[in-house]
Amino acid sequence: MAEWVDLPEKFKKDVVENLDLMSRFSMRNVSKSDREIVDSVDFYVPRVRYSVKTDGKKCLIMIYSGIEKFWRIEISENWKGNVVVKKTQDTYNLNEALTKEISGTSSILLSSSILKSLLIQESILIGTFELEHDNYDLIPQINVYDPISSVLGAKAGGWDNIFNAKKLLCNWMVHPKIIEFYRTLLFNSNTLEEIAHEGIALEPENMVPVKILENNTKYGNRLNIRRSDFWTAERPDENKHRMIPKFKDSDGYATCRLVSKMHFKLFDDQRFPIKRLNSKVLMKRITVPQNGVVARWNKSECGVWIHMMKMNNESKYHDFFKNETCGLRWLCEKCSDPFDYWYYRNLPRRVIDEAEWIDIAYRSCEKSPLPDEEDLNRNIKKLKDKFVLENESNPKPQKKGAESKSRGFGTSKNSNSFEGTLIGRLDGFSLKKVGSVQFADFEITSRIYLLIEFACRNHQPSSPLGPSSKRQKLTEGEASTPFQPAQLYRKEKYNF
Amino acid sequence: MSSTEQGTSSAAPAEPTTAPESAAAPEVPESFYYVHGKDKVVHKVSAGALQHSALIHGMISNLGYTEEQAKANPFPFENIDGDILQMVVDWCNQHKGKPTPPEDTNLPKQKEKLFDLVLAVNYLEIKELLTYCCKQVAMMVKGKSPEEIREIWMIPTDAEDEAAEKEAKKRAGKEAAGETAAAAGDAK
Repeated sequence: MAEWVDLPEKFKKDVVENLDLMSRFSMRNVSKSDREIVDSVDFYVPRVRYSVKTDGKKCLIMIYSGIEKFWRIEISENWKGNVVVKKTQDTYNLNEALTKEISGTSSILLSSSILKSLLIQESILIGTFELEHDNYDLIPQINVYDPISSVLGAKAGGWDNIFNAKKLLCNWMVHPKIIEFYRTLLFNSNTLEEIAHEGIALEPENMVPVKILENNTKYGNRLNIRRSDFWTAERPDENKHRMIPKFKDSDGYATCRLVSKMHFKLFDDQRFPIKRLNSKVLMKRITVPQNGVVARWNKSECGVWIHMMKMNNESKYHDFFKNETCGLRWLCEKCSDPFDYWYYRNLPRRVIDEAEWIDIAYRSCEKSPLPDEEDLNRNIKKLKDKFVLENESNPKPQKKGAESKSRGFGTSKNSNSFEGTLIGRLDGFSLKKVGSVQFADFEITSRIYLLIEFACRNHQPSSPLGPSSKRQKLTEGEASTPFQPAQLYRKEKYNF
Repeated sequence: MSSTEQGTSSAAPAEPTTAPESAAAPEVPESFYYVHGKDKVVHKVSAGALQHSALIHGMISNLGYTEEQAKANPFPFENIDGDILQMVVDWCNQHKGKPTPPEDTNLPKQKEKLFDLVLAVNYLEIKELLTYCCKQVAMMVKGKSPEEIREIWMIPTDAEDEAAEKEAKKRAGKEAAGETAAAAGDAK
């Protein structure tokens, strides 16, 4: 009678390929030989989100495995100083969470240990590692970085203790210095292709993002530095103000991505010759030599997007522009990766699904941001009402039963024992002594740092929503002018 | 040349007009081969069903048996239990000439049978069935803890493994010493 140990190694590897992350994690801890087999099989995690709140006292780990497929671990500290862990799978409903109270650790250390145990393996590649802070000041972020780096990264455990991720993405509040710390010490530079800052301006006009304002700068042959602002409101009259600072001091280009078909008219209104870039894209190239600026209006059946840059930077991106077939990125259902499309489309839904964890939403960065908070809260309230209405009219079908849950993510409520659950079995679960981190030790790659800083600068300390609730009023005439850079430059309104 | 290719032609009814080329060709009668497992029970399988097995398909191609020769010389698979071979044959017959569906729910749920089937299918090189088995085996441990996996699949812990290894070494050492002593005694 055959046993597991009798099966051919190739078959065992095929079995491991069919396991999800949590089962793979269990399999890895069965025996030494099974660990070797698991480690020899590559695994891809599309996205990980790590959010840190209130100086690390509350943390959230979201590990996405596909559309509407995720493991959610929310960790907080209670009044007794104990850590409370709530785990759910494929649901945001904390009433369905497995809950456990643990003493002798902290939220930040426990969450770091979980990340390390689950995701730091040479065979695991993370598509996007997303990091979120709830405070835009540097010092609180350093205070959080300190314990994280005592568990994760090269300082804590050498160069085997780093994440293999293709993208490092931070919410708009994360300080460029902190991003650089994370990049250099927590991530494998051989796999990292992009560092990005993202934020969303939540306004009740739409329940999904309809516009992206973005800037991209290439660093070397591989690394792209990006800043993307998602918008749920069209606001076409504001695009011109928001794009220009995004490229005027940069070696990169700024892009405005517009999903609504109504913007086709904007493209058609530009009285410049049309050039066919490829089988799908028509382009109008508009130059303003006196300012050294070029705008490339692109139209495909998906939508309209506009690249703007300094003229002397255009040639650097020529091949990319020429071969681009859809410039809407994650706004395009047809052309983008289905997971990414789902993820970004549902960003505004966080106001109802994860109301506490919406630090990706822009708010004022001023020291007394009360009016803006009110503004944001009002927007959130309106959006929430819309989502509630939508949920009532289109209730979601019931999810599968408990048998489809991963280990430790079942539906039993308030399990006081962690015996037999995933968290109870995580490697590195016990506390290690936290060493102090000397920031002087970090060698910051100044060039990348400057690029990240540039990407962030336009929104520090203010967000695209503006510094106060009374949003900066556009001057008369400008408010009603659609985004038409050629006309603007001819008026020599902007000096670069 | 395989016996399927040697089949005699017979008056075949014309195919529907949608496939005029095949309607013109005479229908080749199906060839059968014979296999037996450990229990020596012979199973009759069509050449079409055996196409699933790369191993048997290769054997048929190389041997070039006629139907009579094939009947007289069933392929022996002494390393496969009779019931497992029956399972394999049934699967091959069931999926003869059909595209394989994404899932197969008829595979055994018991570990012992499933692992025996895996070994047989792996030996017979039936790729599609091996993929189903692989998914089925993975399903057995989905959502299980390391302890539960060890229990389900009877995997020894590292400590048990080491102890068994030590024991085996000790036994081998003793046996070697015994053999040396016996050899020395013989020499005297």
